[in-house]
Amino acid sequence: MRERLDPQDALRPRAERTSDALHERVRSFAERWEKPALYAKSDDDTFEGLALDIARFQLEQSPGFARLVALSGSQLDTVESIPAVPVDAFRLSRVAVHPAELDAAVFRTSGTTAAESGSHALRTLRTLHELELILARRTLFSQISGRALVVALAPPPGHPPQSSLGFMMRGFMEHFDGRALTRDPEGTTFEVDTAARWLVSSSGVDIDGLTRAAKLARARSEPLVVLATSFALAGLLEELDGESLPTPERTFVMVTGGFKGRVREVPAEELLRATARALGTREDRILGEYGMTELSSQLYEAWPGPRPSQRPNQQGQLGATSTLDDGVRWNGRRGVYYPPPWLRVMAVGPNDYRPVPAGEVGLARFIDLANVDSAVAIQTQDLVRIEGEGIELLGRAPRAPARGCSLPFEGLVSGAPRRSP
Amino acid sequence: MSDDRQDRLRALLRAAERLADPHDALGREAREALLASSGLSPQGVELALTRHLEHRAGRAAVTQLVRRGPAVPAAHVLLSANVFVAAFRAIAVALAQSGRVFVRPSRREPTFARLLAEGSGGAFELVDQLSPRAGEHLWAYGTEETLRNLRGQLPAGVLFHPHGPGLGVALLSERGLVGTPLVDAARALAADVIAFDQRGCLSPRLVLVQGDPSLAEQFADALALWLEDAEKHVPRGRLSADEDADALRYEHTMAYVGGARRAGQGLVVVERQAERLFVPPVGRYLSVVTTSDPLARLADLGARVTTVGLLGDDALPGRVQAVLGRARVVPFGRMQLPPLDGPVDQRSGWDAETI
Repeated sequence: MRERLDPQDALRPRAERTSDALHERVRSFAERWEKPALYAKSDDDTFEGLALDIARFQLEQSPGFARLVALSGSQLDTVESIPAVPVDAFRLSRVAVHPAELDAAVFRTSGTTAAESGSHALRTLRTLHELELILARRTLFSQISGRALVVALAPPPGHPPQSSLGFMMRGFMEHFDGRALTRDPEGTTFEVDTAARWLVSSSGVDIDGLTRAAKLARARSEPLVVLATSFALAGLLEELDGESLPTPERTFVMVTGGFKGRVREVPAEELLRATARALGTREDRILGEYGMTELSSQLYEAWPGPRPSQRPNQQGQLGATSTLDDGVRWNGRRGVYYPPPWLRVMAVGPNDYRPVPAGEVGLARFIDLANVDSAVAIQTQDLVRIEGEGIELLGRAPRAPARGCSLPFEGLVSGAPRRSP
Repeated sequence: MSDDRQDRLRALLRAAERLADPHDALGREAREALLASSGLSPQGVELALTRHLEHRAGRAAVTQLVRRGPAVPAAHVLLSANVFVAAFRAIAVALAQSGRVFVRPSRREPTFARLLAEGSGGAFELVDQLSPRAGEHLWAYGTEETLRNLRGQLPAGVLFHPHGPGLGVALLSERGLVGTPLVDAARALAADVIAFDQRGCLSPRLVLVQGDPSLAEQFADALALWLEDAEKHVPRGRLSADEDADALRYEHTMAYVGGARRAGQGLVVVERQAERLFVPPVGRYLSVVTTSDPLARLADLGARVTTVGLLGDDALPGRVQAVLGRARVVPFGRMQLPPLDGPVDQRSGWDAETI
């Protein structure tokens, strides 16, 4: 699936051309997962080969990464040897191999204060967009064969987008819906950024808007897909105060994010039950998604329960043969998230950054092939346990009391004000 | 009553003198025990006992402490696993208040309080559980969480003195270098850094530089050299698992961000962005920040600041104190040597909350 050579290509700096070639290889790697028949075996890139090529490219182009490689003494000869860029670096510096004038977007993290927020600059959004869609087809949208009505319990991401989550949500609206919010959208212009789709504003969750969207989906006999943050769902539940919305029978919910720095906090299980009740859907149609601004790839839970084709229908008979792709995961356990083939997660020890034995808790390290122009390996402070092919997210590490009265590390970051997300 | 308090305080002082003396049996026992529990190197323990323990406080200091106020029925002290010499001052402050002092040592670092009790002939009582009553004082040292939990459990009428974590900040103004060579300033500040491997609440973690960015670079270079030198005489000790994880994370982050200089086992980092305050971990890590408005930056840090090491013009101390209230303001090299004038942390000083 090589792109046609641009005649101007030779005039561009070598770094850009190398980056473009790596992006193309990453997209092909992901497409191969979705459409294996299109790719010849001999062209196959391996995860390891691609990760190391991206790391070597970043070594050439990023003085910061070169210093990190020197500090760790890595030869960049295995995926495990790629030193990971701590997420703090995204708060304290620009993590990018390209100059700011080539930025296609800069995504902001949601720090508790503006000074604490970080940013992730991207030179191109194409790889991110395509990979998000490929993964969504295997996960969130895998039970939907036609079009769906897609809305978000989130504010619009802006132009250029400042929120990586908002960008993904917008991409889902365009790709899986793509029609005006009218009963007969034929001939009506599709507006992705209409307030009727982005149902959170400074005044809270737009319940009337969600009710209208649900009504429209029922009228069209289409599934409704609600993309939401945990915090927005908690706000919705509070507003509804026990009431339920009349939604279509097939209503799916993507829930993402925690409650960092927020006033209200709802336990995950309770949120799940209450959301299903409020949106008149089944708990097994609510799917968890995990993403970070510093990453270009996401993880999803597996659908709970068996594959629908193996489940008796309402008449007690087995349903028709599944037409779903084989890559769709079922029988998932809540809280266990699965990376796509272009994202690898390792659990590493906090004192040496070396992989911990299988089944033990460690800090999450992500190797994300889609981070071609920033950092292919990211070191977080989130605790995880590897569970088969997935990971269990365990939150932040509890700390022993300090051996002194000095202010703890991470106790404060402040400085020149920056725009909040 | 006042004489009794003075006697007990002097007994405590004598215990401190014995602990500071490497030839005294109590001093030898202290060195052995603290080497295991403090995380400091042998030289770090020696430095703490001989230079930072206030065993040289004179009769006048003791008298002044006692004269701070009338005797109270009882004073209770909850010690944290603090830098160990802090136990001496914490107990001294309570003894200055009352002839009946009850001390609950930290479970992780009980040795120093026990040795003080032994050396002072029982000037205070070690207990497993504190039971302050209405009208009695409780001096508590610990994390914000510990203090918050404690506050919620105390009976009404207890006079509560909470002392939470904090940090020291060094402030270097270009004008201060008129009479002091930069290398001397760096050497003095390095001495403040190495004490307790930065675990004290007076320990400098941030250096604000008011002046040209090149001054910050020069000062960071000089500081790194002195810390490298100090490593030979007073090596950094062991870091706890959490401290070690913080150090690894900081070193990797700063390797990427840039501006870091190796300084013995620690780092001196020049912040890439002026005015940005990023508090590094303990273990001889310093962040040097260029600022055009150091008073505003100190105001950002606010009540977290226990002490400011200062090298600037004559008007600066007054302006700093106007911003930070009762934080200690001292020259470089004196940040870890506060006079025995009350609690080490003057932010709340002798003030108590009535529960």
